[in-house]
Amino acid sequence: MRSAIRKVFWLYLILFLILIGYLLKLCLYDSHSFVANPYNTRLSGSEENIKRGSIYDANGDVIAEDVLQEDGTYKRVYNNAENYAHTVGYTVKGKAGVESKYNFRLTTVSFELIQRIAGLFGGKIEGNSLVLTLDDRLQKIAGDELRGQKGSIVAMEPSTGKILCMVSTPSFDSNTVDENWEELNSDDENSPLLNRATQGLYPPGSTFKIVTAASAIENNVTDMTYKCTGAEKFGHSIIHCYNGQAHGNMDFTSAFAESCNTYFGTLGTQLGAEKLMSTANSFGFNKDIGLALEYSKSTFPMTADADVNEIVETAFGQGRTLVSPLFMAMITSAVANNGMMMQPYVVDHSLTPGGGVRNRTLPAKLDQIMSPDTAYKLKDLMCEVVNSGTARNAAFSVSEEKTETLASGASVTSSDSTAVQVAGKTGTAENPHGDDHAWFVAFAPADDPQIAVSVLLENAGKGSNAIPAARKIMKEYLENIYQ
Amino acid sequence: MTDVYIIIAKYLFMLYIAIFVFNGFMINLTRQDMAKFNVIAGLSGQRVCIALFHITASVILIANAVEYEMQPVVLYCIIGFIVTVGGNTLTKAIYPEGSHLLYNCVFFLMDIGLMVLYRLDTDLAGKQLIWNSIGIFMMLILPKLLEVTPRLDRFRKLYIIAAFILLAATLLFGRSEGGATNWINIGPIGFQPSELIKVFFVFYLASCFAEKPTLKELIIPAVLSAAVVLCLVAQTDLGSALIFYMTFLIMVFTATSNYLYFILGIAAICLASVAAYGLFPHIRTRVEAWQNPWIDVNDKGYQIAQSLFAICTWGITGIGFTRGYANSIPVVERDFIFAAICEEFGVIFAAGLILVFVLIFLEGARGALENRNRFLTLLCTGFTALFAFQAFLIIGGVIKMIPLTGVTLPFISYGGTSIVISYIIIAAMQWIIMRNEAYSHDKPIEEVDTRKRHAQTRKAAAMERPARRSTEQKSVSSAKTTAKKTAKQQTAAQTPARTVKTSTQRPARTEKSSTQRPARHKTAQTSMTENRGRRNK
Repeated sequence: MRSAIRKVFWLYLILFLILIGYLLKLCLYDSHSFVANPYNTRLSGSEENIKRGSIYDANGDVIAEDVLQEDGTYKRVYNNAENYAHTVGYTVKGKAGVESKYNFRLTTVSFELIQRIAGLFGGKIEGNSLVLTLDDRLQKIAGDELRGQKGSIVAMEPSTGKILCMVSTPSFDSNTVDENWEELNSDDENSPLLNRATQGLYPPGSTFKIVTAASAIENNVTDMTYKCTGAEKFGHSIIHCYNGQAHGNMDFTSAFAESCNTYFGTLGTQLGAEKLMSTANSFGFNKDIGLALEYSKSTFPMTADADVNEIVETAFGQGRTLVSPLFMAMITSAVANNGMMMQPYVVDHSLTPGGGVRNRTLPAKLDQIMSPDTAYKLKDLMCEVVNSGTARNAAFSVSEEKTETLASGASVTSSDSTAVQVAGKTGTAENPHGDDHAWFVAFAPADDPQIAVSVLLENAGKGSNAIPAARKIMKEYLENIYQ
Repeated sequence: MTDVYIIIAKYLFMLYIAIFVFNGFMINLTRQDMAKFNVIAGLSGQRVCIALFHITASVILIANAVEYEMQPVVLYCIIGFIVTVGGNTLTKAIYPEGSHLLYNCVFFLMDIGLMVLYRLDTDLAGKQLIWNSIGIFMMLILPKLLEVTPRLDRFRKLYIIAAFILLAATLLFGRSEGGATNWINIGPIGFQPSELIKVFFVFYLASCFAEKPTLKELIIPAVLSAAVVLCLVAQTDLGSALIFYMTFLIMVFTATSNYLYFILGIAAICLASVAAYGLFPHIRTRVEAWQNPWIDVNDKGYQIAQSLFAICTWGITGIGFTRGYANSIPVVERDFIFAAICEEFGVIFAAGLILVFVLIFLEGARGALENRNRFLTLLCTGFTALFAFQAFLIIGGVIKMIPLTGVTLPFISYGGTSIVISYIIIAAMQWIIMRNEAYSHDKPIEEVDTRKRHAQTRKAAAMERPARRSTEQKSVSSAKTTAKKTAKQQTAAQTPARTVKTSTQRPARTEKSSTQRPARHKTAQTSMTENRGRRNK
């Protein structure tokens, strides 16, 4: 009996040590996965008397900071507010954007004891700052390109999922949200508060042919040839190519380059609903993308029992499929990144008031959405779009300035211009409510992709209208930012 | 200013509990001769920790109340201090031969509970203070009352009948709260019969197993225990049902030292759980909420998700007393109080709190080990098991290690019946620790004059400090005298026990003759005396 009592005590000891171990593990290792849950009310609390952390762009330029006012309180001040409004958000009216989702980090006081004691002697108590992945130079170009236009531009680094640029228009001024709240909310025509880049859902138009082509490659139906007459009857309706243009004899590559709707419609009927659906699902339609900001899921509602008309329309990007500009950028990035889709992110790391780096975001894989081989073949198709197809004006060259020091000590600056191979796809999305939306997705350089861009211009007509903005962004990035 | 103080206090609280736990384990190691530590100083150190904890926390409560009405919080803190420190001093003075470590643990837990509760719900905290006072009063008088009671192992029928009457009353007049029908209203006061049944249940099993039970003798207690557990299941009081079941298993294992029963019991509960999962939708809901609370955060997973947010949002040091958002967790003042402690005092402090519970089980095990009467040993084992599984179920549930079963955290959660019964159980454990070998089957009850023995102990304690060592020496000497007595009885029986066994040709397990008992008794005592001798060297 005595040994039994001892054993029972050891049982208790082990059980309770397991409790302690589990508790520590929960708090130290598992907590990251759930603490940021929107139902955690602790994250939205904030204190009046602390200086909220600042928000910087990738170069360390201030986007948002608390400025001390005469009455001793802090006021949030935003720079270049229109370009950042949707991503960074605002702190009034229930907060939005990064200000809302990263409120906890912005109000977390590092080295709290030291800061609080300093606070007793008049020092300021400061939350951690955030450094975004957005680059002000790209934001500026995108903002300028979109001015006076509804639309959105998203640029990503394909290998990491880092969002380099994200602008949505019409925009608003984060500094005056409180004053203009009524107006911002009642403007149903422009809906300026909507982040079109992540929440706007549009028909993908011909950019969806990337998905159809991927499906065709994976299912080995790429040897079809077809004579395009500009229109073709499927089921009970007639499909037209853009402007009724007759492309003539088309094979897989030229049909993709010329964006021939009738070819892809026929290809769709050959693939069938099930295969198309399976490719769309593995591409991540209808799924969460893991972005920390508010976003809408891109949807692919077609089911296996769809009729011929729906299959045909879906195959060349009309139908009921809806995508966000960000999601198109992710698909383009995945093609550039050997088929691996990365989780998009906008916050790179936190900074303590002393400048220490905290919570650095590590790139995370979302899914291998297609085989590397398929991605490679798609890349060739997309190069052909720029080289001989609908996006010929997307090509550009970067000038590289070389400074050589001569033996005499004088330095000579020479400028070299190198052509960059761009891979892209245009899209013209028919829109029942008005003019067509213009799409262009691209990445560059094709052999070593550093940037992927997705441009959407509402009611701007044909897809090639979206090309200049994308070209400027890629050029700026490759010329001046990417090393 | 207050903010700075709260943050400093956060680290102070960790320091207090660290010292408390360290002293507790050092005292135990010293008892095992594995360390040299001043036991008296260690116990005093613990008392200082409790007092400092109370004062540090009170200052925060008062500082926070500056803008509101000061009077109630100051009054609460002062009365709380008197109850905690005064109660501890009083028990120490009245029962010098009890386990002071156990008293310290109980009062520390109680004070943590009082402070956290005030911050969560001032009204409940006031009531809790009253319940605690009643409990402490029970703890003060009960050992005295138990001393004058007749042999408690004779009333097994009474215990089980009382248990079933209470169960029946709950089933008939029970009121449902928090999903379980386990409340009875007596006038304005709600009462939880399952708490009282715990005491009867352990008394019943201990008296059943007071003689080493054979398989046949296990059947009736097993069937009746199963009936009790099933009644609790019928009231959907799953937490209590599990606690009773595990206590039953532990007591059977202790009484028989047979692993088979324990393993079979665990296998049975596993099967029953699987069956229950299939049969009852409310159990399925709970298991699902445990497996993945994030699917339905707003409804089924709400409680556990809020609890996890509270525990994890601020890291392992917590956010600081009174700065948390614990009220976002439903029933935080009862089942989920551990999450509130984690949030405000930090996970390190909470780990210390778990170790304080371990210290209580250690005292329970020691009380059971040092006793050479089967009934009292089993009683002590049973009570310890009650606490152990209750604490394990609720802490494990709150941190999502196991599915949640709503029970209270002993001494900390709000709950009148639970608090008072917990103190009653501690009183009984202290009584067992105090009387050690005096309560024996071998002697007629008149022979045991406990009062005389305690008078001696007290005298010895007064003469010779440190007190604990003196009780130990006292018990050594009394052990020697009993050994002499039994030796005499043996000479009357003419033969040592082992020869009796062989000569009479009876198997040891069924041996119940009066000749063998003292002999077995003697072997135990001599070995113990030997141990002590070694220790004294």
